[in-house]
Amino acid sequence: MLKENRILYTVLSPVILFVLWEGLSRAGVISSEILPPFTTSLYGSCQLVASKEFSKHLLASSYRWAIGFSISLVLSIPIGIYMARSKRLYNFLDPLLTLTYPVPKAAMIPILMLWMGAGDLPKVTVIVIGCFIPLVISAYHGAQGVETSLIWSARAMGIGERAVLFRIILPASLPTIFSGIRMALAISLIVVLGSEMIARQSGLGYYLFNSLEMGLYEMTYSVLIIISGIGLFLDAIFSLVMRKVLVWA
Amino acid sequence: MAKLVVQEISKIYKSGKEGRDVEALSGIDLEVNEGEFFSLVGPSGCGKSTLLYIIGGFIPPSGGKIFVDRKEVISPGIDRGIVFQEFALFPWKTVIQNILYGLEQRKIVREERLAIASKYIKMTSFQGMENLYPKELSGGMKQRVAIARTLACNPDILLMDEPFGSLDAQTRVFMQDELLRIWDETRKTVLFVTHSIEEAVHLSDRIAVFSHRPGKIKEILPIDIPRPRIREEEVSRGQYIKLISYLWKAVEREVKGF
Repeated sequence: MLKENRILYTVLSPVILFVLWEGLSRAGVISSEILPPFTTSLYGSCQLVASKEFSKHLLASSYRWAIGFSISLVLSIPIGIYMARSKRLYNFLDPLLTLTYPVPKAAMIPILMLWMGAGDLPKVTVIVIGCFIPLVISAYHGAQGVETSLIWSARAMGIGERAVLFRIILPASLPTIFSGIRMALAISLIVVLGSEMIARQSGLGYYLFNSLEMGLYEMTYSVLIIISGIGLFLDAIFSLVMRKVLVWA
Repeated sequence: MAKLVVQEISKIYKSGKEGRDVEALSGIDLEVNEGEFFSLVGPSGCGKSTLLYIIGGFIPPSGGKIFVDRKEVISPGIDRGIVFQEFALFPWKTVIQNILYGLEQRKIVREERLAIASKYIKMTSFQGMENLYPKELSGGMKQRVAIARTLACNPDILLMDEPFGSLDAQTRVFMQDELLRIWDETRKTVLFVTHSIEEAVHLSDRIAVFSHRPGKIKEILPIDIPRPRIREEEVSRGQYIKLISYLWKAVEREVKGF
């Protein structure tokens, strides 16, 4: 397919959505009270981003997300890799992962707050937990799939048994790990918003559901547009980093 | 004293697929001389690759000992380089980075490392392609990089596990002659596992024929065809054809023997 064509098709579906949204609202098919026109909501988003009050919440969410996501990366990937190399660790952790997999992580926030207080700690913790499983599993599968011949070649070149883990197995697993990171990225946003919605103190999730509860539907849509924008932005950054890191794959 | 001594090596895999122990190798005795090109042939599953991995120190034997220069082998070491059928290049490293990889583990100054690498880049004719990634190379090219990478570490013994097994027929013939040329330049001791009898005869000084599982050495056959060996001349040589048909029969008996 031609490059122009590809871009055209990629842009087409969101444009159709926005036009429908705008049209249905303007034509009065759906009351503008529960569905304000797209342009109005977008304008509201711009105003929100410029406002000090909203920025505070945006910053609070971003801060928790960045810390939680980073901690989860640093923690989960080595654990996943070790799981692939140690049957003992795998047997120990696997039931725990299977058992906790279906639990909606954002719903753990009240319990975490009970233990950790009302500060940022439980909110960061819930993000770490939310990203943990997809990251561990992707690192595990990545490391599991590394060909023995790669490890043996390195060993014959004088790389020690432990050094192999991070010099051979980690880079060789990166393509799989990156798909786990992408999944964790999506999950982390859901967990941030969901937990803030439940905790009701600050952050984007708080802002979103507060506006909904107070009947400020226009603002609800504006916040949703901002959230989609953030998702798009993070995914673009992710793709950029992935292309840079995985030029060889 | 031989360069490589294999002493009563046996290997038993505990609870194989059939749910019982599988005896892969039994009572293997072998001596390979310095600078010798030695091949192992035999039916699939006869354990010839397993023997190579045990010599490499990658898997432990169930019994017996391996000595290189009278020193017992207990783990992988830089004195034994290995080349695999599936190349095993580090995909995240470029051609030159792959070749440099082993050298970087040692206390060699940068200039010297680069000099060694460029020597092998030249030997394998990779000038101008140093910065390509493995995914950009064909199978034959990948295997040349793998050989260069192993040679750059300057091992005493080159272990080759069906190195040309996944290449197409023409590339394979080309690579065999490349290997002979490189071997002639470096005179490394080579231990070469292959399915191809023609390949073994063309390359080797001696060939060990393995029996079917449990793998034992049935006989060791010297190949006294003079070097340099030129393929076009060989195929019309009676001695060459006799050796091949003799080996074919020996291996065939083993293939049919189960």
